[in-house]
Amino acid sequence: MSHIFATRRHLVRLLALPAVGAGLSLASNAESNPLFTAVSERGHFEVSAAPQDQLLPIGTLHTWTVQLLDVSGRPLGNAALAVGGGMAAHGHGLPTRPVVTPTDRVGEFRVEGIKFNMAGSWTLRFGIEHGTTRDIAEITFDVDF
Amino acid sequence: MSTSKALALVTLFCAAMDSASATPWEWTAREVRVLKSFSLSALGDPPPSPGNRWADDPGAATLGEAIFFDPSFSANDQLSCASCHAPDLDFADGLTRAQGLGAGNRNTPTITGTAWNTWFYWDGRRDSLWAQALIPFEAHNEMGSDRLSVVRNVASSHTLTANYEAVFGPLPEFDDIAVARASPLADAALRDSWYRLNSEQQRRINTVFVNIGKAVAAWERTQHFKPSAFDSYIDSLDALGETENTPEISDDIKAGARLFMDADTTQCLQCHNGPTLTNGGFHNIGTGNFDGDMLDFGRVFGLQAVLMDEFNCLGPYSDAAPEDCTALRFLNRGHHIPLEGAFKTPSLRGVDGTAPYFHDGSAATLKDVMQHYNRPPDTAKVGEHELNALELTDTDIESLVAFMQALTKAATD
Ligand code: HEC
Ligand code: HEC
Ligand SMILES: [Cu+2]
Repeated sequence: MSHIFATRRHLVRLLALPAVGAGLSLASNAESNPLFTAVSERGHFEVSAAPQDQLLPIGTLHTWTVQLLDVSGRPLGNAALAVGGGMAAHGHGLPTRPVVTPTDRVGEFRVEGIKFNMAGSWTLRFGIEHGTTRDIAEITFDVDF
Repeated sequence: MSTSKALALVTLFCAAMDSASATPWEWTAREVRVLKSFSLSALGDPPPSPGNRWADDPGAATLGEAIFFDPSFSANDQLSCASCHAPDLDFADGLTRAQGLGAGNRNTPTITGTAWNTWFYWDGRRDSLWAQALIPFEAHNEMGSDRLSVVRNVASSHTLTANYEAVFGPLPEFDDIAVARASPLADAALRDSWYRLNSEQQRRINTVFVNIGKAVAAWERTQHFKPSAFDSYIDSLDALGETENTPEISDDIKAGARLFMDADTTQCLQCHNGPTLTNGGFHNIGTGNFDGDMLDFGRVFGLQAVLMDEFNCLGPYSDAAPEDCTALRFLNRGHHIPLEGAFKTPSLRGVDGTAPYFHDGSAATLKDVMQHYNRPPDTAKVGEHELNALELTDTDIESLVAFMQALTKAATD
């Protein structure tokens, strides 16, 4: 039995990269939206990401705001951002393909079309390119009903 | 002791006094939350259909209903949409695979609740109800007609013309078109006729044809899910669980619901969640047919098809602003999600009424479906799928089936 298309084995490996737990923190209270921050894997950048909604609803599209910072915490100008993610435990990616648009503010991006279609631990991966420097930051968090 | 535990004990005590009533059922706080997330009352109105300006127009729905039940739109004047989506069969047909003018190779799903779908067909090859509705008229094994005959059929009926014009304005003339039949999708002769028409004629026909699809969609959008016995049960729960208003349902059903929600025993909730009991996505659960006559790769071709469809949300016949076409804008074209052998997760509302199951009707009963999940097929035969073998007992399977039956049984009030 042969298949004309590749299996999904490769993505399990891709998603199973160690989470940057140390650089990840979540601040949240009743009034403000959840805010996730992470230092990129090789320490070049810092990312903070916040969903527009106070909650992370399952099954609907949401928009996030992502802020890129340099090591000294200053907004990172002239950088490019790519967003992906998925569930490491289930070995699949995001059900959608988010669209990233820079906003008017330095180092800030609007990420539309993020969707979580089940409960569990989700990872968002931020690919960052600044000049010739590339790095990846990850945030991992639980989503539930 | 937590308040909920204490309360549960009090209830337990009261129940013991009254020997007639059974031991009360206890739900955890998370279980109550998940159960509440299933409730039909959490569903809300159908999402907008930006491509269809008439999606919620009552006049369009009236016209659409008439067309849905009208066999004069088929090549042999005997088949309508309702032949396969029969109201007394929960808008399905009870067959393994559909039978129209020819044999189909997929099972007929219901149209109930399709207003909440993002994708249509088992492979999601259409992105709106109106674009979907255009296919059966011209499918050679369904109604076997062609779009020129379909628009001429409206023009030949006074009632249909009047209803059409009340919604869409004057029906254009087709007197300048000599041929009776033409379609870009039908057999070679009809395709030839179609390509001999000039582009203005083609566009005139397509515009009326599309309006017919939009009218049918407007009516389909009014066919909502109905509250089930299980909705009455979950709506009666408070944060601690059952209350004095909770209707009697069997422990079997509750045990089934518990298994359904329990990620340690089943994976159901990954794919069947929310008030529609589907995540709306495409998953490979080992049901693809990779050889034989019923060859079916599922989403991998549906994805190509919806992008090429001139009637999709971004196409010239859509009423949507491009930024409102979110399904296409944020479409994942296969990045870390399986497409080959993936099919759309169906809703489980009303599922007990629409046997047989799966895209090819390969499971005759809900019990057969459960056997599939309990012992998923060998990945060597059906490709990499997303299921783990479960260790459900016969009693567990009966409970899960009872739960799905409760999602189907009408609420009594
Ligand atoms: C010969 C039987 C037959 C006829 C006639 C027929 N359908 Fe269907 N219908 C099917 C089958 C089979 C499918 C699934 C096919 C697939 O996924 O490839 C389907 C799918 C659908 C769906 C998608 C449901 C979902 O959840 O994705 C809708 C909506 C629908 N039909 C509406 C209609 C309308 C409107 C008409 C008339 C214009 C019609 N059908 C005529 C058999 C039929
Ligand atoms: C990985 C996603 C996934 C999981 C997990 C899953 N399902 Fe499904 N389910 C699907 C898909 C996809 C289909 C349609 C498959 C096809 O048509 O070939 C389906 C079909 C069904 C059907 C048939 C419905 C119909 O109309 O044909 C039933 C019933 C069902 N699932 C119940 C369950 C139950 C109960 C569980 C847990 C034991 C479960 N599913 C777990 C994705 C899933
Ligand atoms: Cu998952």
